[in-house]
Amino acid sequence: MSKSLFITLILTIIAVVSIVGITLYQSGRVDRSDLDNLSATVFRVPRIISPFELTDHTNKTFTQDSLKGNWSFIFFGYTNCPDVCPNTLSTMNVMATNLEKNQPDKVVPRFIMVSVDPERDTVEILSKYIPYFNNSFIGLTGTSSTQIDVITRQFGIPYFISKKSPDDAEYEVQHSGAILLVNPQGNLHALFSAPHDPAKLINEFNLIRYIHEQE
Amino acid sequence: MFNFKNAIAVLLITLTSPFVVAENLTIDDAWIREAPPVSRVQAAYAIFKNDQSSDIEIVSASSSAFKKIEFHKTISENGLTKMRQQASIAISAKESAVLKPEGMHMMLFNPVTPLRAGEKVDINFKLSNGNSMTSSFTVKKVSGSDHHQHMHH
Repeated sequence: MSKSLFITLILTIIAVVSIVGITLYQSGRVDRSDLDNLSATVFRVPRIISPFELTDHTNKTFTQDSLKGNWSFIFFGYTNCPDVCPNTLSTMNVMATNLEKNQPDKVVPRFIMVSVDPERDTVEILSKYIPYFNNSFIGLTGTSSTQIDVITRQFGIPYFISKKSPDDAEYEVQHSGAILLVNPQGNLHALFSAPHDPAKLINEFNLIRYIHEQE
Repeated sequence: MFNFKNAIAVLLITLTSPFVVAENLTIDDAWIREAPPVSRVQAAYAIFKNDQSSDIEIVSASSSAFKKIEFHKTISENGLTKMRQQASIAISAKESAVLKPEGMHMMLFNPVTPLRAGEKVDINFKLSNGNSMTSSFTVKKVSGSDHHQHMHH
């Protein structure tokens, strides 16, 4: 094989691969297989979120409609959590800081923590806890576990309040470490399982967002 | 025959043994996560390095700055993240035990006064052989803006 023929062959292959790639991208089909390679689980059809009503850390009502208009990263945790929750909120802060600086179109998603410990995590407690990590973060709580369950059930988030006795004040709440992504239409779009790496989350979010905007 | 020098040596060892640092155990990168304003619990992390040819077991930890300290391991089971209390920290001969976020850590309950980044706290460790050692832990705030700063320390 001559050198020029070899180069022509390589260039042809690159051209074919690119055209096939672009065509498949535009056809909206390769999106799915691309998404399959992510560590995130992207739902084939984003899930509609049924009505829920919680209160944010500034004492405002927060419902399924409040999720519309922007992407939202949602984590479930509690304030008396020494390791995983502050670590995840710090990860989210790294993401927020990074997106604010580097995102060309300045689309910075919402970052939300829903408390799975409404008994201890009152609005007042959350109002002190959430801004410690980032002033733009949102904390959500309710007045009972029943209220919280409306959102955890449909998000597929298990949690378990592990009280050793009825008056145990130092109880642990076992909970999913997953981060969920809700799209600007207010539908549940993807799930990221723990452990979380901020750089990876940003990369995958940008790809998920790009593909969603093409669809 | 009474040997004065030996007697002094024995006396010194007896008096100081609870405070003697286990010679072949070193503690590095010892830090406490600064607690958010409302948290009454926080975690401490460190690297315990065992340079001797036999295993070392840390059976308890205490500090005047906290009501109690427990050893916990963060585990993931059936989709739930939980903390499992551990009876001790075992460090095999010539190996290290790494206490780090979302892994093995010390859970510090009810600080006597809230600790702010930069403060130092002594934590005392009791070993299974009866010895004990004290190490200084630095309180750090881990967040986006100073995340890298922590990495460089």
